Amino acid sequence: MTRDVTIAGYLAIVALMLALEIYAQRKPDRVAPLDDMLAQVMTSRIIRVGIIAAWWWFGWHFLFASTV
Amino acid sequence: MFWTIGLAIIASLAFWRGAWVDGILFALLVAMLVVDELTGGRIRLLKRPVTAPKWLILSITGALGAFLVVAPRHSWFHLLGMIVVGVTVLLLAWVPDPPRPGRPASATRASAVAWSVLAAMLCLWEALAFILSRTSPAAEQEFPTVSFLLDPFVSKPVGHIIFVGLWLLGGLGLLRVWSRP
Repeated sequence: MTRDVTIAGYLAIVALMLALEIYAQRKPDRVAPLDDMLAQVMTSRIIRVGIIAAWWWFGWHFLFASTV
Repeated sequence: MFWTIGLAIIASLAFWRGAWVDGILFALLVAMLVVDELTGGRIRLLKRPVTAPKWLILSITGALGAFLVVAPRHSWFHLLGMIVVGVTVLLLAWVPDPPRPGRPASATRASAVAWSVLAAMLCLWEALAFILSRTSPAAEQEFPTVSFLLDPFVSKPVGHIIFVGLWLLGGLGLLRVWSRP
């Protein structure tokens, strides 16, 4: 039961992300699509390095480091 | 400042869950960003932004992807590959993208806030699952983390290929190396 609730929580958040992106694609002047938003915020070095570091860590975590 | 604090929290969480290497890497990155901020952006890793033809970038990425797919997971080959990727992307990411015309500022702000809230929700849910999964051996199954759920898929050869492919494509998309002037 708790396992299903935990997984449902992840899926709900992913569903919200998809809904947000679909809404942004339809109303880009109200909410910028993810790609456009990233292009704007990544003009800052700290944000750019932070996002790239998070991306790199994701690969590091699954490919080399212990995953649990 | 907000992002530096965020990265510092990630480093602290890595130390807290016993991932010392992850913690040290993020702590070093935070230190580098703080020094760069305090010195007015004087740390220069490259003399000028790197540009390369799309075919060359895709060829190198493809070769790297093949190496990461062929090498067994958690091996020293993967460590080598991840170090090469890490150093390369740090060099490329250090030079920020030039500003380009985009959506209205209010739309960008709304999008950034919404994505930040959703990302924070995912991190909190994952952290809660991680804490609860440590309460007993059986709890690991009852409160699975994202890693726990994805690991069996990535362990399979097909899953390994898909993960490496999507991960590298995601990195290329974030860096946008070939679209730079």
